[in-house]
Amino acid sequence: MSQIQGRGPVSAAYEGRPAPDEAALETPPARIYLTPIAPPVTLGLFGFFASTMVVSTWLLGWWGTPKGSPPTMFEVAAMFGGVAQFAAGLWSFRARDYIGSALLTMWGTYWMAWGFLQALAAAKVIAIPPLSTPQQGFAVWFIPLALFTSWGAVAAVRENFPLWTVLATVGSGSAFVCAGFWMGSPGWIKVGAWLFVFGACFAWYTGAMVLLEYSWGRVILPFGVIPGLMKLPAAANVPGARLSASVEYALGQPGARHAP
Amino acid sequence: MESAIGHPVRLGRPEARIFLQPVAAPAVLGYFALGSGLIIYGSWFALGWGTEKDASSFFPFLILFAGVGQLAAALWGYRARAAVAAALHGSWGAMFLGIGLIYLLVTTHTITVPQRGAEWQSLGQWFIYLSVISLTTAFAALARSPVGFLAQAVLGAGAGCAAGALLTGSPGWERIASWLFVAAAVFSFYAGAALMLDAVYGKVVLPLLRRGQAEPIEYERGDPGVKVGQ
Repeated sequence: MSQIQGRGPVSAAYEGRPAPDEAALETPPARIYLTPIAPPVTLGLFGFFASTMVVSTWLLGWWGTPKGSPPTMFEVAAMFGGVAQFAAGLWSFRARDYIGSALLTMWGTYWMAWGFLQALAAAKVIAIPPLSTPQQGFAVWFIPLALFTSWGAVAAVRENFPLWTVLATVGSGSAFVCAGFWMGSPGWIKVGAWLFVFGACFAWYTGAMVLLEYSWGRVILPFGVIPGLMKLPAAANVPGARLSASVEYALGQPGARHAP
Repeated sequence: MESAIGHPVRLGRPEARIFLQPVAAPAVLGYFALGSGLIIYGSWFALGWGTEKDASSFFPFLILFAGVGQLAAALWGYRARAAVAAALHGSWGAMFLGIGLIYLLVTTHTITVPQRGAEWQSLGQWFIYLSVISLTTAFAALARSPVGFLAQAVLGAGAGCAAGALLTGSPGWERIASWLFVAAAVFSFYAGAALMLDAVYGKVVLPLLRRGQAEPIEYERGDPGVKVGQ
């Protein structure tokens, strides 16, 4: 086998035959393969829902003591709100979902980072002050979270009302929480926590809405679509309406069809 | 015609194909891992076998099988177009990862946790939301898998009772939750085993109470993936 110098990359001849002139070759035919997957947003929003509810209701004083964050709260938050939501965010790239891939991944990293901080506190490496003490190093976390979640809300105006509500309330809640931790104001933190609770409930609704439509093949929970403004048709607001026609080989294995 | 950076476009609008890739059902691993976590942790937590120290022996299994195993099944669930499996096993996989991590920290004497039967508010909070999520996935599962619905509905009820027990410190409710977890584990083992045996034997071995029969496409002399199995 001998090598010859061509333009650009080195081409190789095979068994004495001359290497083809690559510039003279026709462009090979290309196909775009569209691969169906199950909707990742459900797991991501369920992780966000559970973690946000647990921590926000504690901030609101609905349970626990105000002395400090319970040492058995962060572990599941880091795994469910963190790892699981992050993984769902990564799968959202395959779903070609711009909002999910950016925001589920971002909030997944937030919960992992928060868990990491709490683990350091549990190990007595650092001390986390009470809510009435300014914590500017933690407050700054919520600046990018507020900004990018709000941008997600702007994008969700094209999607559906429940998703828009999740992102709008969580984005604005992040701003209040940021201000609260910056100034050491439990009042502002509680305003943010209320918005988080509201957003978390809509996160469950949105996740369930997508899951049930996918599983039953028809609308179960209304999508809250404003016709003309949002992409889906008005039928998405009517329980029982069929929005999608999945391509399935009904006798095939999971992947060739929907699976239980 | 030019591309965005000024190069001539050499390719017209390409043809698109929907590409269906069959995979083994991830719910088999998911249900086995879920059932294992429930039967070990659920029964220990509320039925009272063993001692408080036993958690230090079984937490690695909880983290790796009930946690990582279920999470892996959940992520393969996306390729399998199994929305229920992805949501259910992703949620409970994360829950068992978290519980395993709690007992890892207990084992290293980093934190302390309440004894079984006592009030444990933070864990009770998690069970509230896991109950809501499990009942949601159960309703979704009812569309295709009645056995999956049973497993998840019982699991959701068990998580609800566990939440009540932990928030109020009621050993009685804890016992009820435990039995429900054990029942959910039995349904999970059945669902996982039925999915596996039906697929391997190509016929109904353990009924799943669902319609349709599998007839997968394969080239029997091909490599794994082109044929079914290895």
